Amino acid sequence: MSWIGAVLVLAGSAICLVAALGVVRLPDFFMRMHAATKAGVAGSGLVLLGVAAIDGDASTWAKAIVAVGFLLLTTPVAGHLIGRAGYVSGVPLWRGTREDALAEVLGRGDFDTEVPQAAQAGAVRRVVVGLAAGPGLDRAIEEAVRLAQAHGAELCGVAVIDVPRLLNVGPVPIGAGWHAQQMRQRRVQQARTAAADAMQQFEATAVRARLAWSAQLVEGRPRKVLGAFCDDGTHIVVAAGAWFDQGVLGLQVDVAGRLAWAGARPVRVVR
Amino acid sequence: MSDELSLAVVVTAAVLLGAAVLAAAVRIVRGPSSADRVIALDMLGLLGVAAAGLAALASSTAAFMDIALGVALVGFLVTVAFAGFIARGTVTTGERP
Repeated sequence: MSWIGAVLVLAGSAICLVAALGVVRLPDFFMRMHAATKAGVAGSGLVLLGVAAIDGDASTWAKAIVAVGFLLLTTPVAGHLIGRAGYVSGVPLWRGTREDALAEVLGRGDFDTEVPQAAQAGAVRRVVVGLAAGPGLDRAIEEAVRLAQAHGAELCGVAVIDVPRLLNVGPVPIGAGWHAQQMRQRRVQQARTAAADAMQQFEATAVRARLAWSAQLVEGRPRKVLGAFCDDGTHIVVAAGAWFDQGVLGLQVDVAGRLAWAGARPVRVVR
Repeated sequence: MSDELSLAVVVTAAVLLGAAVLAAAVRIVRGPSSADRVIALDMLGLLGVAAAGLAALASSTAAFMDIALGVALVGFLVTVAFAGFIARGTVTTGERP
């Protein structure tokens, strides 16, 4: 009996560790909930049963079985409740989510993260438009110009090239290293060309609008690069449906979700 | 099973559970939403149940099983209460826009 108990205790602890790793590593709240509730109950339940098997006493068995039964009854309820609460409070779904069965059923509030206290910021002093080649670029630039004129703000065009994303060509089979390298170089070159075109377009529009303007080209992670511009007096404008691969990979990205910063002003996503 | 072996089992399980507690704590610190933190807290409660069972094993005291039962009960109530707070949006202090 004690051997079975030892195996159960060890297996339960290992499952607990896997569950906790899932809570840390999974990409969105709902997946984390799934890891915590399912695997957590399995892990602790196995540990309790293992302890009872080692101990062998009738009263220990009774307590272990009652505890496991209670966990099996309550944790799914708790998981559903907290999942519903998270959905209602507007926790973002993973960007790879294909289907949201609750979309028309439950309302969603504002994402409650770190409390947008800086939201009542002062006047808009700067309008930053993230330049990404794509069908929405014209409208994004127009919107930025309109905003800058309305607030008398400085117009700033930032073409970001998401180089880390472009360099990621997936798993490279043995012997294909040279080809992968070529592919990376070609992608980055294409993205640079597209970004330069987008900047020219921005420049032309800005000059025509007779605004104080500046433009720059940055290579790096879009969230980080644009996040550096985030302050109380800055409005960030980005086109929907375009990402900073500059059209090279044809990525379909939920821009608003990816660029949601806590605090400051929300990103304006132009459709 | 010999004493050394059962000691090894308890120590290994304790190390695994300790690592799991650390991981859940990381999620509590990182958030980003309060729902994430509550889920990690729920996970901590489940780990507490397992740890209480392990303590019963290590100290050969059956009373720790009662603690496991109690922690399981309280953990459920905590999660349900927090879920209510989050759904109503009143867990944060200050006015909401």
